[in-house]
Formats: sequence, C-alpha cells, structure tokens
Amino acid sequence: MAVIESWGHYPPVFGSKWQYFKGSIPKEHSVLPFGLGRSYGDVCLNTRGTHLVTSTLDSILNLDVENGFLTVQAGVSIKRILSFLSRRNLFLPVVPGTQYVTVGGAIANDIHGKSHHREGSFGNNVSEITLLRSNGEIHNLTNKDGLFRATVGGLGLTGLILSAKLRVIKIPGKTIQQKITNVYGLNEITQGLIEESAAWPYTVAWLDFSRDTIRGILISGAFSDRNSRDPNIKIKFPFQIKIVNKWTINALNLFYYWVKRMRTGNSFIHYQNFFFPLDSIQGWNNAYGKWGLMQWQAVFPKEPKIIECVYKLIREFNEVPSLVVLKDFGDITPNGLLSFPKKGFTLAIDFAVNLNTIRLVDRLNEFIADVGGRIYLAKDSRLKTKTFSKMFNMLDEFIKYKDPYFESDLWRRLVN
Amino acid sequence: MKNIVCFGANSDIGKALLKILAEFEASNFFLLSREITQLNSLASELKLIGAKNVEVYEFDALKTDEALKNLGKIDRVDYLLICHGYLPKYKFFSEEELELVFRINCLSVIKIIEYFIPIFKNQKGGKIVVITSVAGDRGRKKLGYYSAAKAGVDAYLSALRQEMSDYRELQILTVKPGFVKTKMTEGLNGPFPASPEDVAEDILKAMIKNKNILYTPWFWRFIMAFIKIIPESVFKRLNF
Ligand SMILES: Cc1cc2nc3c(=O)[nH]c(=O)nc-3n(C[C@H](O)[C@H](O)[C@H](O)COP(=O)(O)OP(=O)(O)OC[C@H]3O[C@@H](n4cnc5c(N)ncnc54)[C@H](O)[C@@H]3O)c2cc1C
Ligand SMILES: NC(=O)c1ccc[n+]([C@@H]2O[C@H](COP(=O)([O-])OP(=O)(O)OC[C@H]3O[C@@H](n4cnc5c(N)ncnc54)[C@H](OP(=O)(O)O)[C@@H]3O)[C@@H](O)[C@H]2O)c1
Repeated sequence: MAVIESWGHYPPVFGSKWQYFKGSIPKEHSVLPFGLGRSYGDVCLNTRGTHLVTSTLDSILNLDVENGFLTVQAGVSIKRILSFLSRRNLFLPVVPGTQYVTVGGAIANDIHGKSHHREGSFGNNVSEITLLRSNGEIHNLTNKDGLFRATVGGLGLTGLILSAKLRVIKIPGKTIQQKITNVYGLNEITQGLIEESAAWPYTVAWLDFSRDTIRGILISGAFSDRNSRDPNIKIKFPFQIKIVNKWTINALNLFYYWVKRMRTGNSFIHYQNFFFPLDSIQGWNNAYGKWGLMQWQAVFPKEPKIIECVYKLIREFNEVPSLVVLKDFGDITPNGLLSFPKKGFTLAIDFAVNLNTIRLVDRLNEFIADVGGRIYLAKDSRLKTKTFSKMFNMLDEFIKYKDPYFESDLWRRLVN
Repeated sequence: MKNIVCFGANSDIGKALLKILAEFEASNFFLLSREITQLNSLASELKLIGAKNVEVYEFDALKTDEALKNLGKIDRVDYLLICHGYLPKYKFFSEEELELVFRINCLSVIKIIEYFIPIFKNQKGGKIVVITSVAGDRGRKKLGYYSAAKAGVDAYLSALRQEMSDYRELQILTVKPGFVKTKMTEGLNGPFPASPEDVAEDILKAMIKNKNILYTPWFWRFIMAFIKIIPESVFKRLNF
C-alpha cells in the first residue's frame, strides 16, 4: 500500500495515518474511506484523522446475467470489473477516464464518463448500496432512500460503502468502432459535439487551447463485434520530476493533434485504449514534479460563449493548459444530493500547480459560480465556502445524513 | 488544510510568507508577535486572501516561556515558522546588547523548536522553517553578535536534522536571506536588495521541494560559498 496522497499531489500532505478497513469503524479519530486515491484534490484526504483503506473489500459477489446486475464489494476496481465483464460480453454503462478507480470511489464522487448523454452518471446505474455507519448499523439502501441519495456523490462522508449492486449492459465485443473528426473554432466544436452525441453512445472532444483559435478533435465511439487482444504496453513514470512546462505542453498538444488528425475517420480500437488512454503511462502525474497538478472541471449551460470566456481568462493569465477535454452532459438527473452532473457542457482542464495557476483557478471558480455552473469536487481543492454553497443547493439536506465520525479535508475547507 | 504557527508574524518577511501561504492553501493560522494591533489587521487580510481561521497571540522573545504557555496545546502543527529577529545598530562590546541578540535570535528560537518537537514526532511529519541569515556563514565586524547568534541557530538546525532523520516526512528548513528591504534594514544600504515577497516565494518553493538549506535570492549561495573559502589571514584584513 502506497502513501496516502491525492492524484494531483496538491495540497501537499505528509504523515497521514491510515489503516486497512477490517469490518468496523475505529472511533479514536475521525475517519475517511480511501479507495485508489484517484481524486485530484482533498476530497480523499483526512489529514486530521485516519484513512480506512478499502482494498480489503475485494470480492466480486454475484453476477445476475438475466437481469443484468453485478454485485461487488466497494474496494473492487473498475479494471477488475471490466476484465471480468468484458470476457462475458458485458460492460458497465458508466466508466471514468481511468480504470484505477474503486466502486466505492465511483459512487462517492458519482463519477461520469463519455456516455453521460445516454446513461447518466455512475449513481444512476446503482440499484442497491450496503452502507456501514460509525454506530455499527448496516443499511441496505435503494434509490428511494434519502441515505442512498446522500451516499451517491456523498464524498465518503455518510459512512463506508461495503458493497453495491450495479447495472451491466451487453456488448458485442471488446472493440470500439471509433470516429475521429477535426473541428475548428468554438461553434464547430460545440455544434459537432452535440450532433455526435445524438448519434453515438460515447463522445468526447479534445481541445487545443495553445493557439489563437481553439481547435479540436471529436472522438465518438460505439462497441462493435470485432475482437482484438488486450493491450499490454505499459510505461512507468516512477519519479517526481517536473517535465511539464510550456514547451513540452505545446509539443504534446501539437503531437496529439497530428496523430489524431492522421487517423481522421473510422477505425477500430480496444476498449482500454478508447476509454483509458492515460492508463498506459503509470504515474504520469509525477511528471508535474513536487508542485503537482490541478484539474479544474466545471459544468455550465451549453453556451459556447462561456468556453470562450474561460479560454480568454487562461490566456490573460498567460497559461497553457496541458489537457482540455469537453463533454456533453445530457438531461438525466443524478441520484445524489451533491452530485456534480447537470445538463450542460463540462470542461476539464489540467494545470501544473503554481501561484499563477492557483490564482487563475480561483478566478475561474468565481466565474463559473456567476454563470450558474458547478465545480466537480472530485477534482477541486480551491473552492471557497461561499461559492460552494451557491453551487450545491441540496447541501442542507445532505448534512442531515452525514456521519458524525466521517470527515475530510475538503469538508473542513468548505463546511466546518 | 494546514495548521500554521508563526513566531515573529509581524516581520516583513514573515508577513509576506504568511500571505503567500494563505493563498496557496486554505489553512488555520496562529500568529505571534509583540504587536497585537498589527497582527489583527494582518489577520483580516489573511482571511480575505483565503485563510480559514486566524488566531493572534502576544509574543516577546525575551519571555518565550510565557508565550508558549499562552499558546497552549495545538493538536496539530503542520508548519512552524520562526521569523523574528533582532539586528543591533552597530554595537559590539556591550554586555546588554550581547544578551539581547542571543536571547532573541538564538535562545528563543531553539526553545520554541524544542517545545514543538514532541508534536512533530507524534504526527510523524511537518515543516519547521527558521529564518537565520547569510550573516551566520561568516562573522563580520559590526555584526559580531548577530552573526554568532545566527550561526548558533544554523549549527543547532543541522544537529536537529540528524537527530530527527528517522522522521522522513519532517522537513527542517534553514532560510538564509541576503539583504532584504524590511523594517530591520531601514536606512541601510546593502548589496543586491531583495523584496520580502521574492524571499517569501523562494521559501514556499523550498518548502514544497523539501529542501534543507535555502539561500535567497539564489545567488547568495554562490556569494557565500566564495566568501567562506577566503583564507582567514586574508579575510581579517578585508573591509566590507
Ligand atoms: C486519469 C484520471 C481520469 C479520470 N477521469 C474521470 C472521468 O472521466 N469522470 C469522472 O467522473 N472522474 C474521473 N476521474 C476522477 C475519479 O474517477 C474519481 O476521483 C474517483 O472517485 C476516484 O476513485 P478512487 O477509488 O480512487 O477513490 P478515492 O480518490 O480514494 O476517494 C474518492 C472519494 O470516495 C470515497 N470513498 C472511497 N471508497 C469508499 C467507500 N468504500 N465508501 C464510501 N466512500 C468511499 C472517499 O472517501 C473519497 O471521498 C479521473 C481521475 C483520474 C486520475
Ligand atoms: N532584512 C534582511 O536583510 C535580513 C537578512 C537576513 C536575515 N533576516 C532575518 O529575517 C527575519 C525577519 O526579519 P525582517 O527582515 O522581516 O525584519 P523585521 O520586519 O524588522 O522583522 C523582525 C521582527 O522581529 C521581531 N522581534 C524583534 N525583537 C523581538 C522580541 N524581543 N520579541 C519578539 N519579536 C521580536 C519584531 O516583531 P514585533 O516588533 O512585531 O514583535 C519584528 O517584526 C529575522 O530573523 C532577520 O534576522 C533579515
């Protein structure tokens, strides 16, 4: 087991206490469940108390092919589930951008994927949750329960999820038919994304913010019945050495753009390469050095003008983001009281941490609050109490369900 | 969220550092100085910038025990910053001044650190940041007491670093500024003057990179390396 850190290495932590979860909630400190630490900010940190590492909850419990349900313990990773399911021509309706996420973490942040316009978020596809509270009670919850709605997107603060029953979908094979389109300028990008989403189950847009006019690549996909072997090329980046800077970012953007451009049109690709391209470099977050990285992710009304403003603010601060991704959120309302998704566009932008990008993100957060948008707490470490309560209007309802022994640094920052 | 305790919070370098830390991460601040009114206005500024909570306490380095008692137990101390200091005005051969310089610049600093050591041990990590000076690298005339007191702290910190080497996540940072334009150096003309803000930014970087010794601005490292190798027989005749 590695040290307790968030994926972005920001805020910096040291000396964090942790223990394996062994069936009960210890009461001498405040506690927070810890999955695989793939959250970028302080949502997965509890530096004043202890972390309960859930890798002990590692069993796949039941597969009900007929009705399409899989029951697993909360520490099982998406990677394991997908390799288990895909062999049986089954899949999860919602998967994030990395497979190294636990089911507990996926529920607690109510994560979303490239399928949001069709399937909603992870919590929309969970039918039952077994939750352990600090008083020892075990609750079997369905989506009619208030505690279920608090636990989905509940940031690990309503208790420890022991297991969950997940909906599964049928797929024809492990290969994705992929369509790549070049788009130029914001109107073409947003229009294109909306059109692709109407036609394809999986869509995403990659944007290049390093030039005077934004250009982009639309990537759409659907499972096909072709088969291909599991990829196993793995590069490791084991040391924290900063190689991400303006030069390398520009080079990377250019490289990515041309590689994708050359593949314009239709092609076939293994699902791992389609959904989890970043997983092929282990520890890529180390390339941001000791300062770490921030991912800023917001959802806002579907107006290209808002993206334009974000882009202009970034330019004003003289920054070039290392990654910009745009997704289309559909109409499906999430199940959680503090869930992130709502109808609109969601923009995710990576920055190397420094004082300038910190100031920039603070400005972006205020801007998003003003246009009625919302910040994704799984990625956040900069939001302030006031903007937070403006963005999440079910907060008071949520607080009723919070477990008094469960705390996180994010909660201390935003609420206490 | 960090708990940050700062002694000498009203020093110009300390203030700049606190502001940068408040911006870097929402934290709780415990500020100590002789000037409570000044601290109160600093407290409201820090809150505006992003501090979660700020408490102020009185602290006179000549009564360090008293200040530590007032401060009481803090459950967790992530960063301990020691920024107070006293530069006598061209006095040498004065017993009174000798006492003052050593008690403020050296004895109180070591006392404060030792008060917090059990807390750092218990939490198995943290950062201790102490501002000493390039003056501690080699004594110079008119600065004899000051140099000696600062050199004393430097030596203590390097001993402490060995003492605590089992605590891999404990950083002990010695900050050696060159000439900085602050209240302390008002009216003096030093070489290559830096601003407290520049120094503060360097300190933050060194904290993130877990450094042991920081010369700030960076070129002082080379200036002092050069000054240190000058043979004493030559050095004693130099006039700077
Ligand atoms: C490369 C990359 C790509 C990503 N792509 C996406 C994406 O496309 N869409 C998206 O939505 N997110 C994405 N994420 C974010 C990631 O999916 C979430 O942060 C996820 O919650 C991480 O899960 P984890 O198991 O690592 O949980 P951790 O980060 O360890 O914890 C996250 C939260 O879950 C809680 N938790 C964990 N286990 C339990 C449990 N058993 N019971 C109760 N609470 C629990 C924790 O207390 C914490 O609050 C991405 C992250 C990375 C690094
Ligand atoms: N400026 C430079 O060129 C330079 C160079 C190298 C090192 N340094 C070191 O940097 C540190 C910060 O100094 P600065 O340059 O920022 O100067 P400064 O603004 O004058 O700060 C010095 C602080 O020391 C405090 N102090 C003095 N006597 C004290 C006492 N008896 N009890 C408690 N506090 C006392 C004062 O605090 P209150 O009056 O508010 O209580 C004052 O705010 C000092 O350690 C200094 O030695 C400075």
